[in-house]
Amino acid sequence: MISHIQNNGRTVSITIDGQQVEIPEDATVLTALRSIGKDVPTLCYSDRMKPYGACRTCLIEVEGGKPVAACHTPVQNDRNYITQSPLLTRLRRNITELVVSDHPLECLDCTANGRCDLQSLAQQVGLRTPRYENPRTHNPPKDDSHPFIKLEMAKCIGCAKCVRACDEVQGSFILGMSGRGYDVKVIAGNDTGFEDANCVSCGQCVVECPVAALEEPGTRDFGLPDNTVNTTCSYCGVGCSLDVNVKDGQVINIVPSKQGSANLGHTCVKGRFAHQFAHSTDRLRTPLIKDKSGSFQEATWDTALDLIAMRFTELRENYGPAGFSMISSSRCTNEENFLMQKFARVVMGTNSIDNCSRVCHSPSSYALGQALGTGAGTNSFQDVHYSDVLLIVGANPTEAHPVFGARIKQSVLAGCKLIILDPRNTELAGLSDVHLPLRPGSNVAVINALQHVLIEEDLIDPQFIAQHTEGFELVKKEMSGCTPQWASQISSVNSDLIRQAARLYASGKASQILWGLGVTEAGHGSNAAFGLINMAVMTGNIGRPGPGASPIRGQNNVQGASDVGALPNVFCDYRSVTDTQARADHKKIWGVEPPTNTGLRIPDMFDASHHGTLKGMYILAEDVAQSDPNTSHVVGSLENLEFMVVQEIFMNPTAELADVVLPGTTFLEKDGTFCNSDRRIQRVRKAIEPLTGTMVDGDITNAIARRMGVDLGFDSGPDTLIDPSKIMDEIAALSPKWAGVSYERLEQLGFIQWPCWDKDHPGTDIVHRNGEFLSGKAKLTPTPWQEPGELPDDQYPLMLTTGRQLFHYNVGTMTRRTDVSKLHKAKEETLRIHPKDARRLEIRNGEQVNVISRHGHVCVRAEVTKATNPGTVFMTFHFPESRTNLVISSAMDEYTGCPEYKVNAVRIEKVSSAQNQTCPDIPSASK
Amino acid sequence: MALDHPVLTKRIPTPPWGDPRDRKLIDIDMYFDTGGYEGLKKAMGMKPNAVVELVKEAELRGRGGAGFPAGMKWSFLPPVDGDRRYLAVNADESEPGTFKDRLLLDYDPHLLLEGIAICMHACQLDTSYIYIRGEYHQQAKTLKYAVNEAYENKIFGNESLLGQINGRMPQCYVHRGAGAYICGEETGLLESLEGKRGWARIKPPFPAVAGAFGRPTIINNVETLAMVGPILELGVNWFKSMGVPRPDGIPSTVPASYGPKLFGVSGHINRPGIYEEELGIKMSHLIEEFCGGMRDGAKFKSAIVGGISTGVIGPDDYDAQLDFDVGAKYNCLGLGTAGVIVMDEHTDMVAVARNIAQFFSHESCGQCTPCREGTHWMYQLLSRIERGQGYAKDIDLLHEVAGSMGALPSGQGSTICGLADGANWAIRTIVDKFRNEFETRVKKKPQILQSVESVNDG
Ligand SMILES: Cc1cc2nc3c(=O)[nH]c(=O)nc-3n(C[C@H](O)[C@H](O)[C@H](O)COP(=O)(O)O)c2cc1C
Ligand code: SF4
Ligand code: SF4
Ligand code: SF4
Ligand code: SF4
Ligand code: FES
Repeated sequence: MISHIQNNGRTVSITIDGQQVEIPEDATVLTALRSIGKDVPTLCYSDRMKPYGACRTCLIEVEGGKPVAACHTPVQNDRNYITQSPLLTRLRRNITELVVSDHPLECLDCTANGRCDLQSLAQQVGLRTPRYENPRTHNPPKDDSHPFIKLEMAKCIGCAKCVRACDEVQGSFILGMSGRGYDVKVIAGNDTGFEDANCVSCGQCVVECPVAALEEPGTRDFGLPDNTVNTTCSYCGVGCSLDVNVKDGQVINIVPSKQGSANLGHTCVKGRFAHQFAHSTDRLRTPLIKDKSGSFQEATWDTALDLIAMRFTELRENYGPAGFSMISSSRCTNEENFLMQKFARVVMGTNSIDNCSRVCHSPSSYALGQALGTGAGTNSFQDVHYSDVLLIVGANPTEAHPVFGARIKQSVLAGCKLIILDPRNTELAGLSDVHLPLRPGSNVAVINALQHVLIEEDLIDPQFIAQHTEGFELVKKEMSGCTPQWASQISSVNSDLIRQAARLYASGKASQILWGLGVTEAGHGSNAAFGLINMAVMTGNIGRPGPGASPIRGQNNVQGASDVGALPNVFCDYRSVTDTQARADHKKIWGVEPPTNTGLRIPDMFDASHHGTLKGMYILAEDVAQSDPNTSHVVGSLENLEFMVVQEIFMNPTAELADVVLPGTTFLEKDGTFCNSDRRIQRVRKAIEPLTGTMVDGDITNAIARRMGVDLGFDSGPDTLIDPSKIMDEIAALSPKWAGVSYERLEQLGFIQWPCWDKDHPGTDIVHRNGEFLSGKAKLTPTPWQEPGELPDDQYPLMLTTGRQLFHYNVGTMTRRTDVSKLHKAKEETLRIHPKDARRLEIRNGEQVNVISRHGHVCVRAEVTKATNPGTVFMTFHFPESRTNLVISSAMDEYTGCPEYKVNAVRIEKVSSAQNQTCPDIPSASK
Repeated sequence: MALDHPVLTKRIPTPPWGDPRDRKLIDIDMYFDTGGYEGLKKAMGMKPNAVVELVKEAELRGRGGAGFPAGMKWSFLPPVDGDRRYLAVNADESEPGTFKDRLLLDYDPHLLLEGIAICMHACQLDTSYIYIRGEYHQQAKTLKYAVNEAYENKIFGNESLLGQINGRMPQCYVHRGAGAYICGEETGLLESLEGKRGWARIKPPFPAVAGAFGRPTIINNVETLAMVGPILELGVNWFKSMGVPRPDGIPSTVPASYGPKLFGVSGHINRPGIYEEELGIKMSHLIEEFCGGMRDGAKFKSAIVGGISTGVIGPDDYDAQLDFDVGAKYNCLGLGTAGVIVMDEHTDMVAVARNIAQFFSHESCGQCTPCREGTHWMYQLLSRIERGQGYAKDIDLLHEVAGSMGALPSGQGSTICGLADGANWAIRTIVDKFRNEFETRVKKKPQILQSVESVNDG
């Protein structure tokens, strides 16, 4: 854990077994002795949790005093500590003997055999059979019911590491010790079992358990792995570093990497346990070509690639750059994304390439880029530990970015103040000091009112504004009318709360703003982002450890996919396609003149296809038919295309519409890099070979180019496999902010946060330090209020907002093919509705309801919960069969075309019992 | 030596000065009428620090068990910083053989409240919590009544004569425990007070620096605080005129045993009860003059001097002088709570040990290995020995497991808190001082016989 208290740099001088040591005065004896390579046994200590001092195996002697526990005793100047003595040997053996006296002596039969801390300790102290010969009295049965956490509590040694991991690392407080003395035991909740106690299955308790009392299926069922590969999680934008354990070419389990800079040894249920999809039997294993009758036929790679090369060439020749577009994937590596955009620009001669950050964070990038000079967040994850006030807007990190969410909780539990701006009663809202539960779509109004209060009550930093910013007067003028009373009418948030929030934000010495999709997908997202950036800049809360303004990016590599240029208007590093220098640089390396016209954005692609100007598409691992708003429109557009190629790991609604489907690979089967939400570039490493019949996505793109007669320049050998490190070198050569990135350096440093200006640059944890904005001066931007595209009326009186749930990811393609779906909370889509609304509509928990919007309707089960507020209902989009997106509007952000996923007027109707609790047909959409 | 006037029992009729049957609750009016809150008045005329110095000079030692000098404890507080600071009054009184605080709570609660108010002024503590053991239902009621009276009479609350402390008006709350011995240990008490499970905390940080809710906190026993009012009122010299001064040649850093003390005597005597005497009184004097002698005229065998945690003294120690040096002189843990349990010649010391071990194994919080497992095994071993099924080696194992648990040097620092020290001293002193009783028990069943028997049984 990173503590709020920073060491003051003072040291003390001690000796350990006669050896002189200089050590910070707040160090413990254990850290001191480990710092010089010595060690003592520990059973209850973990270097990322507070010392606990319970097992007492770490006793050491203080010369002239009694023994003390090294793990929690602070060093004292001039003391001499002794780590070995006959007394210590005796004490350690006796203590070990006591632990073992209540432990089954069946090591050979134990799944932890060979990796158990107690076993090693017994060996170390030379313990044989304990002298206490009575039979053990505790023998609770094994409990195998949980898919990921296997209990064998007869082996528990009462170290409470699991309890503390849950409290201190995950912040979920699920576990506790109950009973006392010899009868203490670990319980979940009120001894209700993990699931009912609301365990989030992060697996931290399992990681920490020193014996086999808590185990996960992998190691338990397969024994020790042959091989461990370090890689980066492919689910969300946190970018957890994972150690993948492999045996016989199969992934047996995944554990958090302690070295991971983003996760510090933590993970969520997805990264840790949701990996079986890689070996799922329904993986696509052979290319498929659609025949005249519209059904897919298996084909060889040669046939499929030749066909694609031929059709792509025809498309290029017949329709030119306007007739072809590509959707790249934020799920894939930076290298694959770079390759895709190079393919678009070099092979197809078009700038029409986009990635799904469009449907999530383009407003963030846009606003940050315009205002501060770069389209990424200003700070790093670790800054939440240095912030004293956090303002979190439209984000539910404990579900959508669980590991970052846990770090936010750690900070809040350590005293950081918390303001939440969100229509839902999220977990963090429950921990907050001020919660503004605004009506969906009214973000900008409330953010404007916050700016208004900051300016009106003179809570801003005039000196910072004068020195480092421009545009303040315009903002001041625009905000003058945006009083809290005014915002209150629009947002239905109490105006006093708005004032309180602004004051609390301004009271921090290091106030940080974080926002999520609730800002960018909720209408006028760019203006909301501009407003939040204004707040940070006006109060000088930027450019230091702690304060800042950052979006929390959704998918694993949305940051990277955009950074490396899978966008229609920019090359890598956001260099405009019209910028002469950028064009010259690209031409020099690429040998061809890149196209000049700005390409199509994803929503434009669908429109273009609708209008018949776009004829062909190449889609990499994006299920747009399912995850894009207004599904019916998207499906129609795709059906209109002449030729479409989809690269996927599983068959899905988008792939169903393709002419050729190519089986790609998962992140476990490839090399590359991801760039996470805090600009952290990390390696993805191949843990298992691509399944037979599949190909690494980058290799596929490269092979198509080859067959079209173009060498993109990254071949690793005579076949058409790519060498991703070569791609990174080209990215570095073309991107000033990635100039210092190379595989060699990533191996050395573990990660690099861009900007990284040259090969000696360490990377940047905090951008815009000391008011030195990348754009020179920060631009303060007036953010006029506009109504969202969707407003409730008599016919559609409720607001539907959409989002994520912890246990699933996007449309559930991966998570739902794993045991995650065995968890109660992960079983099916529900419409979350407040008891008040439910009562009015006479809807009971679990009943089928019809959700009807102006765009379509879906049928789901109702979940009556106070997690949403009256007037607002909530659904995820993890369950394709419920097709949440059928009801989503197609309104967009005016600057970036980001859809308003989060703001939809709906009405809810009970499905009558006459319809026998099954849903009436859903019109259009599915084909 | 003998006390001229009762001090702590001034208003509570107690032999030899009064008849327990005349006891009644002293309400605040009666308390005022009998010179109550005079000490507080004096204290309010002094600078806070001067009060601390005065208590330090009096060498008032804690009456809760450890005997730590109160004034010294008070002076460990960090400088005030405007934020909250707490007083936690330890009224958990759960040490077996101890019932002295109860007497004060039952009849003269304002003596405690006066001490609390003085301590709050002296240490600049704005809030005090009286943590009272759950089983003290009636006492909690009495105390709440008295606290109410104190609020009405402006001892605490918005118009408190203490004025603002740390920018707040001083408050006093009664907080009831839920029945665990460990919650009398000062940090277990704080955890429990915070609404958590009563587990002892690792130290440092010490409560004076980071106690209740992470803020500086003073923890004192009821009797300790009850002593503060009279000291303020009557002065240091008066206080030091009672008890046992430091022997010649001992440095002044070593605290002496001054003042009056409540002794709670129980066991095989004719008149158990709480008696007040000077520190340093002989146990024999206590038994004969106050308690009406040994029951049935039986012979003295052993005694626990200050709650079971302190261990026992032997048959030759009938005249033991009861002051804070009792531990060093008679090889036991110390004066503890001065809850004396007298045992006569008919006492089975193995059964005593087993009974005590049962208590500790039941009350161990279960946090640290040596105490959690050790107290359990001590109980198992002793039960076995008591039943006559133990082996000679069990006695050594028992001695070893007892002797290697505890936070004090005697326990080799192997546990987090002092509960294990109590288990250690109680069992070890009994085995050491009455080893023959254990040996005769195990000798009755030599190992060889056992295995023959079990073969036959089988
Ligand atoms: C296991 C254990 C139980 C204790 N129980 C009590 C108790 O019930 N009452 C009490 O005043 N002190 C008790 N103490 C002592 C306290 O920890 C602490 O030393 C005392 O409250 C300090 O007050 P004093 O300095 O005024 O004596 C106990 C200590 C231990 C180790
Ligand atoms: S899996 Fe995570 S949330 Fe569940 S009990 Fe373990 S640490 Fe807590
Ligand atoms: S389950 Fe494991 S981690 Fe938890 S207390 Fe038991 S041994 Fe320790
Ligand atoms: S999904 Fe996100 S939080 Fe969970 S393990 Fe992967 S990167 Fe970490
Ligand atoms: S010594 Fe015993 S009571 Fe004290 S903390 Fe350890 S286990 Fe708990
Ligand atoms: S490691 Fe120090 S007490 Fe357990």
